[in-house]
Amino acid sequence: MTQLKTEYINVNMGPQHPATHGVLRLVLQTDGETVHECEPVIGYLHRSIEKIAEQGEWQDFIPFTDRVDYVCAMNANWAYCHAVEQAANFEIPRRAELLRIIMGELNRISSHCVGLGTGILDLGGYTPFIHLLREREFINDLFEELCGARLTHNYCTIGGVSFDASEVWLKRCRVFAEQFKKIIIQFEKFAMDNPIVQKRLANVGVVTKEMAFDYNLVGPNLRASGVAIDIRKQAPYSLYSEFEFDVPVGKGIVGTVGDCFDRFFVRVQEMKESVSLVLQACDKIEEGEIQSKEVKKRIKPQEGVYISRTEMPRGETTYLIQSDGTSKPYRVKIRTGSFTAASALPVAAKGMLIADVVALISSFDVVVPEIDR
Amino acid sequence: MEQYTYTEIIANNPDIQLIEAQGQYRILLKNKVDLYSVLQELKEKYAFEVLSTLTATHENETFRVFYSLMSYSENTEATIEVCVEREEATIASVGSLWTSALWLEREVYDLFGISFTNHPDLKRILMPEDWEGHPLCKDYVIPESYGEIDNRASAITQDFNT
Repeated sequence: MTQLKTEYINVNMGPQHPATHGVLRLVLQTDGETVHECEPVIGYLHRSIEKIAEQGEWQDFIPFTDRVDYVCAMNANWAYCHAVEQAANFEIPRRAELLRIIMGELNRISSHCVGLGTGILDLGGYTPFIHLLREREFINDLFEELCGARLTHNYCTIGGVSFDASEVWLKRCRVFAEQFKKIIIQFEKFAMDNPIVQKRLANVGVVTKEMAFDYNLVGPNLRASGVAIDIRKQAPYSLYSEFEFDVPVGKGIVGTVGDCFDRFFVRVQEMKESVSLVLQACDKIEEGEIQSKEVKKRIKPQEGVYISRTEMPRGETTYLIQSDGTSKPYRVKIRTGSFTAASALPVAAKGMLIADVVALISSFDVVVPEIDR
Repeated sequence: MEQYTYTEIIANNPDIQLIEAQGQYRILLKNKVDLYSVLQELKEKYAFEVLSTLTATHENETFRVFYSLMSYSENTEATIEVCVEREEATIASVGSLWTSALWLEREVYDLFGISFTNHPDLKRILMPEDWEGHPLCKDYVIPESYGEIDNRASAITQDFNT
């Protein structure tokens, strides 16, 4: 029998693709349907946000952080404001901190709704997407009532928050949180206990602990590999040290520890923890100021380089800011969770089918504006 | 997370300066040749499993490159700074210690022009491949056109401004 001549085919899972969660381009080298090599090409959504930061003043940059990750804009605003407040050593009033925690956790819930919904949509299940987005609309309504925007909130300011939440708003927030607990249980029953979802996701794209450290995977991607690291526990910022919550890790329930199902599972458990955090914060909130009085119109942090970390829904986001003593930033660097997840795609996608690559990208919850900034 | 106390590293290497800023400590390596050995020591002997961020800033004629490390097992973080001159902007790559450094170094090369020796695949990552110039340098001039795309201010808006 003569040797068949085989060669690898280059398939371009191009920037325009319904399943790459944005303009992410993957150049796949395949042997039939099996992926031999995968190279992500990024930069299609590069908007030079870090250069724009150097043009305006410190507080002018906050609307741009909304667009760094528009699915969780409250957390993105908070990450930047926290970095500047740490550099300039500002004290934030207690009510503002608790409002930030409520908004941050609500936005974590809505971001995970999008991540899980689109993840299962990519596998072919249309129903969970619609159910979760219906719930997310309640959160969007709450945010629209509070600050006027459904998606890009521009809510945190340096030194506090921009709008106050009334008693009626907090009551509605509590009603939503109680109702959402039942929705998560319903979602687990029909989407996570679903045999098709389990078969598509089990043992696919296994990421070991060593690989996660080597590629600096953060957030739910890291916790799914069995590592219980959450910046809200390791380096508590704001008032997180006063709250009680667990850090869910992947256990390999239907496959191996660190496979795609574990990443989905960790996000579902995190939504439960976020609901509990929202209810705790609503209990703790009292009357008070929402903006610190010591923050002047022109913010001038002391000259130097500062690093700050916060836990965004996609993982730990590190801000490195450099101030030269003036009211304009000298350098702002954002290292987001999706950047590290995209860099781990080549090694995680080796040897799997093209259909599994779709499951892998959606399990990493990659949002392209975070990668490219 | 605690700040790392660099006492053993400073005792072993003389050319290191400790800097403090708002409660955060970092070390400045005066000699950029020491970089790989210091980072290797931190990773292998002091359990810094993760490279969190690698970035640079441009000041006059030097680039300051920052490495931020994290140790999950010891719950500490460390920052290392090294200066690179603009005329000879090369530094050793740490991609063999942490694979997360590869994409971060590509981004620093793309936006500043610093070359990393022993990097397996040093090419632009965010800008298009045929872009000229390194955008985040302070003396970067935004080009007037890219290929056929025209970036000059249009005559219509000029009239509105007067």
